[in-house]
Amino acid sequence: MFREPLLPWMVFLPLAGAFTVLFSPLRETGLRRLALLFSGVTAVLGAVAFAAFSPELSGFQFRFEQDWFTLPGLDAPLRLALGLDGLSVLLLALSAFLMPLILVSAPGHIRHRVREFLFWALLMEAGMIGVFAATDLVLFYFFWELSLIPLYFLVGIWGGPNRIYASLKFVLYTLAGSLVLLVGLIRVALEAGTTDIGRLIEADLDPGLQRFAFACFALGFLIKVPVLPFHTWLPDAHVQAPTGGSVVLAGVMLKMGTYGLMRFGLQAFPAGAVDWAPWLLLLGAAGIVYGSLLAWAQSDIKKLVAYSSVGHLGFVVLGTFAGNATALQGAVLQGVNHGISTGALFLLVGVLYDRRHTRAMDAFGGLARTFPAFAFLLVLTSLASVGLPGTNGFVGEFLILMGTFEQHPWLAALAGLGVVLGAVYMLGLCREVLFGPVTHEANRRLEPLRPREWAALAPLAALMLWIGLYPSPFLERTRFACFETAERLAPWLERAGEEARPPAPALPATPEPELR
Amino acid sequence: MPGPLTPSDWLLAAPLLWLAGGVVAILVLDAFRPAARHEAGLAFLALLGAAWSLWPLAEAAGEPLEGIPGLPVRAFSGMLEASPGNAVVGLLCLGAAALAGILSLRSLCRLESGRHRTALWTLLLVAPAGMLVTLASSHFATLFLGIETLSLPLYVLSALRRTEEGSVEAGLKYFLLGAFASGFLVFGMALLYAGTGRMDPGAVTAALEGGALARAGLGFLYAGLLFKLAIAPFHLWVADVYQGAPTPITALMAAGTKAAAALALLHWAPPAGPLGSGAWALLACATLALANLTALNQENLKRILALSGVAHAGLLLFALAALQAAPGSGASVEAAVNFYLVAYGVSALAAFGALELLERRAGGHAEASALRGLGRRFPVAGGILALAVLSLAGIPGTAGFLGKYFVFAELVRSGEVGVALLGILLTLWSFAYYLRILVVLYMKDAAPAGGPPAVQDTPAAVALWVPAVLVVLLGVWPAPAHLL
Amino acid sequence: MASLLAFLLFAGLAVVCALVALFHRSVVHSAFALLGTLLGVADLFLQLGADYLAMTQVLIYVGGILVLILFGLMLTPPDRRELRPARIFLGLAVTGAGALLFLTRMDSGAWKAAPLQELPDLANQASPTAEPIGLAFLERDSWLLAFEFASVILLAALVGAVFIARRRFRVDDEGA
Repeated sequence: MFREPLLPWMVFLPLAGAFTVLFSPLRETGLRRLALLFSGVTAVLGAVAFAAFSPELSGFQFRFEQDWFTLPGLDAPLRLALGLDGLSVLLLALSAFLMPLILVSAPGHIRHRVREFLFWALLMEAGMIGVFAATDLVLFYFFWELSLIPLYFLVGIWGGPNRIYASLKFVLYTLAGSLVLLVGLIRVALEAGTTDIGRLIEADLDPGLQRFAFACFALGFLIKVPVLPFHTWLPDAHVQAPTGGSVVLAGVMLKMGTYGLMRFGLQAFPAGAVDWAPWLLLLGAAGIVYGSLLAWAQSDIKKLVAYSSVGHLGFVVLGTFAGNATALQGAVLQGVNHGISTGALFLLVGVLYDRRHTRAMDAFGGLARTFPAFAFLLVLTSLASVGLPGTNGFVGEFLILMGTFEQHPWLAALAGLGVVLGAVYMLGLCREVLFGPVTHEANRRLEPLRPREWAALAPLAALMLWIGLYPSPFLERTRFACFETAERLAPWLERAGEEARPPAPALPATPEPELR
Repeated sequence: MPGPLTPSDWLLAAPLLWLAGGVVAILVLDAFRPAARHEAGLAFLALLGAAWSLWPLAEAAGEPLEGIPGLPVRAFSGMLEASPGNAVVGLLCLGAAALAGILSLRSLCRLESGRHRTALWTLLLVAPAGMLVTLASSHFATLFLGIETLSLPLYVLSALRRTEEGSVEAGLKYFLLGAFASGFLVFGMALLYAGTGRMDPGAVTAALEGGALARAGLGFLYAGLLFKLAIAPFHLWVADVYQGAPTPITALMAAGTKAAAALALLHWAPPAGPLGSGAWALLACATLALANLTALNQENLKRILALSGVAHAGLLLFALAALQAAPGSGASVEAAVNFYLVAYGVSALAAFGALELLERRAGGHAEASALRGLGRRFPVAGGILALAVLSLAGIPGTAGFLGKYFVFAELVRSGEVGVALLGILLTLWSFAYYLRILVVLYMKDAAPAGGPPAVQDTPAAVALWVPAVLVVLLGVWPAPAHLL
Repeated sequence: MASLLAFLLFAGLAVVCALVALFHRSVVHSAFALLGTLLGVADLFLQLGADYLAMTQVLIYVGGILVLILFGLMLTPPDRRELRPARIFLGLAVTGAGALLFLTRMDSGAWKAAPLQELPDLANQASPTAEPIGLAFLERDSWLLAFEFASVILLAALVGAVFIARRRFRVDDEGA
């Protein structure tokens, strides 16, 4: 009985929270608690959605539908339509889960204009949850943009010295993509006569329209992800953003792009996806190597983490377009993994920055002795980020590499090189910061981790281990959707294969992942 | 045959009678009790009455019959013609005048010891009367009279601060250029009449099939209308006039004049013909590009908003391009234009209204440097300005987004996907200066408080909530308005 | 024939007076020359059978606007810079180009009006137009709305003019 109103409440609660905070007479601490209450309840609802999600059902669950208004030219009214399937359930839960952690950690770095900060943070949460829950195209776009403006303010007001430039660049890049997406959206809506995502997926649109729509949508998503040539806004935004902003950006915002690629690119426009897949695969693989190399060259910890994001998301793109269910499942999971581990890394960078007000790698060293709790968490997170077996990163990367190898062995090899590079720079970071002699006196007197920092980091660490050691609750929830998507893609792949080479080998039935 | 007035005549004439009656009442009162302060009350009463008498027609827009918008009402044998959607735009014009009046209560009304109050309030009634006639005009006589009636009061109102050079310059500039435009307009009408023998919108169709005389007339007619709508290359007056005029008047100009002129242009737009969709699309793109280019390095927020208005007028032309490309789409294009005008109108009203309040706190300046950080010091006015700017930029959740969506949807539906892509990327450009306003308001440290402390203006602060709420309401729940 | 003669006479009067108005060194003379132009045009109207229009032309342009111009001229100091040769030349060039364009295009079908020799003797045939015009202004089916609404704009013009013409108040008067 809770299934239908669950998603509307998850969107509504942060929204209501945002305006409650804005007009509440409470002072600073009270406001923080109030906001935490709203996002905490939302997180609980997210956990409920995750737990109650039935892995064996096809299509959207927790459906909520309400007529909204009619756009001219369409037969059916737009609807406030929400629902979850295997592609979105993990990301939705992650979005709901991350926000309380950010609010808990916020007092460390957000000390002025707290009311506004909480307002924007909660508004953004509503937008992010809405993006993953929307099953109507226009509603999706609505939330997509709704989540953008708050981040603009978060970076622009509480960011670093170059924040105005960085936030402007971030918004203009993202908007460029989403405006092109809007044109595609309008054309799809008009020609398909519906904006319901489920019906669009079933509709088998005209291949020409699919190709056009894919190009428009993919541009928007690729900029958001960001994939190699469109990534230049990301380091600027990450470095200038306050810790909370970085965590949201890495944890959820970028996933909106990969989620869009899967939901629309693969599911709704498979013909376009197959056409463009070779290029996107190449970009993904190139992004892995390029991002890793750039990360290796950084001396600012935050920049390093930011560039590592480009590499990790290359993996996700690779898995998305590899064309089989295994890789896709890996891509979905890796999106979540990246949100957890990179989010944690940004929080850890924030911990250092709050204490020393620098992020230069050479300002640290030997922290393993003076700051052991931090060292433990950093090592764990780095290993998760690198993909050591037993951590979450391993499961995702392994599935992606396995799936990709079946279709494109060379790309898998290139991506494997990226894994090695990832180990090089992450472990290099650990060595520089944690080990060796203590070079700066200030590092001897670092304040130990505060309870609120533990509260923000410990759940993330626990999740890394949980997904790493026992991934099946996560995998089984995504399996059905991934297999269905891959099946939908198969005839188009075959058709493309026939055009390319006469003897078309039928796609081997994809073996189920061993890891279950 | 002289006949009695029909109900539809009364329907369209009643708002005009209310407004004209208000003017006369104010003047008569002024003659007998010069010191009386009832002008404002009478003016608001007249505006309210006009809105009340327009309401029955506007109501039909919200209750379309089986999805078909209500049929237009013709009055005075085709002198006026207004659809329910047009009536909603008419309500916007009345609302704009009312808001301008409320914003003036504590500022313009007190200039020169209030000795020009009579002029202020009567002209504030005449201008919307002109707008109503213009937007419903379907005859040369009503078109010309309407445009003159809306312009003349605005010439004077722009120069209301007679001791300020900027204000006088604005009035003079607007007057001189506006007189030129009127000349073009009337000359075009004369040529069209000479060439086709008609004075109704059918003259346009006839002219396209007719000879050079009539076509030249068509060119002059559009030049006159495009001037009022501020389309490039006739947009150069906008920034100076909007900046120089008192901000409440600017708000009225932005919301009302633009709406009236745009609807007039739509009524008089040619059906598909040699002046194809390409010409309108080109004009639209040029206007967007020029406005954006100019707006990028403005220091004055009023000028930025003025140029944003130019860009929005350019965007509207895309609807005309769509109409040209798909001639059968008249009703839905008109619906899109009506919605767009209302969306832009409420956003512009909120923006200029909030700017007026902030300006007073900054010692009467709208320079970016003077307004730094004021969004935080004055959260309500700042928040409303920020919201309005987001709506002008077209962020989902605001009226501006849906307006833009409808226009581009018409363009895509007519098959002009390439033009739509180009146009939408041109609007991306405009984000650079919209975001700049947000930067000024929220991301800079506050400027030191300068100037005398502003008068507490409760009526204005309360009235501003109306357009602000409408911006959000139309953005998330346009059901009553979407079929204008 | 008589009508053609009359046309040539009054059209000539209008054109010659217009030229005088343009080129005479004294602006006051120019203003008076304008009188001839306006009267000539009024007579052309008359010949076309538009007696009402002719009358209004005399009343408004001669009786109102021209007198206003003369007032204006008498009250402003003369400005000699207006007569610089370069300016005159530029004006002539623009006007000439326009006239040339008009004359060359006049022959093409589009611009052609009724040929001169077919000019009807409207002045003697037509009944007075004042009555039908007056009635049309008050008929719902023709010009009632425009006629009535014109009063609104005139009222606005009056109010605006009074506001602008009113004595400037001292600055320190403000905000009291």
